[in-house]
Amino acid sequence: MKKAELGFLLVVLAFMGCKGEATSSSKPLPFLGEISWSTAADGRVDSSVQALPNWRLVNQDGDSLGSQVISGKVRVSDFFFTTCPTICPRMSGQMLRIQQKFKGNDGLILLSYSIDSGHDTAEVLKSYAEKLGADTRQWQFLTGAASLIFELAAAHGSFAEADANAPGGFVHSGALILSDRQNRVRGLYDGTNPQEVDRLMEDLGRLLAEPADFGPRPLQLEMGIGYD
Amino acid sequence: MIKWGLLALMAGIVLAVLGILWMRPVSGSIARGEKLYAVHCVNCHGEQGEGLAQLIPPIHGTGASSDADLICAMRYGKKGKLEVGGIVYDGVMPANFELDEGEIRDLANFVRIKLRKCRDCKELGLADMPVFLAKCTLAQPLLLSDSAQTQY
Repeated sequence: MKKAELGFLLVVLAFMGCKGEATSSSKPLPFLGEISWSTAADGRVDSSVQALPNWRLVNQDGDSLGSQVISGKVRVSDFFFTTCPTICPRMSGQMLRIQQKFKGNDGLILLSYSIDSGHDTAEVLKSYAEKLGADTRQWQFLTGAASLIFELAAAHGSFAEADANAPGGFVHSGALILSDRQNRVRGLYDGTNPQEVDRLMEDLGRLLAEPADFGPRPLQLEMGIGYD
Repeated sequence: MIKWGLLALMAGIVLAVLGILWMRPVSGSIARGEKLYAVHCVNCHGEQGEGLAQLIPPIHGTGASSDADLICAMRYGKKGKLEVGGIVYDGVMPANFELDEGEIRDLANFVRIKLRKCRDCKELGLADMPVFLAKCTLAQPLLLSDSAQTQY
């Protein structure tokens, strides 16, 4: 057996698994994150891509929830806080649009991670979800240790951090993150821009129709305390 | 024939004048207010002032709030229960101490005249602002300390 060749990319890389020409709507979505691959003796290429880490957090009902409970679903995630005086209401409004469009679709889960664990208790999240009109059977609001949530944001390709000088005490990205049934990130979209969210919903439809075993193997990230 | 032509011409002129009056050109204050709204207000209150579900109240309805309430909320924020259109809201609106009186006037004019489509409303002038703001400072002293505590 020939020695396997190993390649490693640290930048966003599009993994194109299609043959021949394809229209933009039929092209598979890219896989975002670290991709590594090796070539076996018979010439077959084995590739793997960084997948989102598993976690255990508390949801709006006060229940401890492990990410493995929702495995196999396409996810749309955002990082927000309930007292956010800037972009969060706009992001939540766009998440609501997504839920309304894909209402009742069991293949989809929406996740809103609070970055303000000091204030956003399960009770506060529940009240926020109710007032927003979110259906929590399909949309979970999650809280946990701040350091864990900040790490999770980074693992999603997003960003969140405490900053006493920022409005509301936090700086964070307004991205909505689309990940597939194997927890591989497939797209980041500006959650404050309705046109970007239109594109997300179009891509979401494509992910729901995609075979679950499509593309490189998911490579689970090893993370610290609080992860399953 | 000439008589009918003259009548048609006159009718056209009358309609054109009415159209110009109805369209009402956007003033500098309203245009500036629209830009300020896009920076300071749109994330919460929405493009058309529609608000967000039961979290954030709409401000595009003519009965949403008086001019005085609107101006006070812009400067000092708002906290506590607020009923709009039969829905009780209970959030916190941050204060905007960085806005000067001219900017608050521009924002108020945009909300009152453009968003609420109030054709009878006259534009507020800079001289009106101290009168409104002096009253709400006295009426809402607690909001000053609330805003400071929450770092808004």
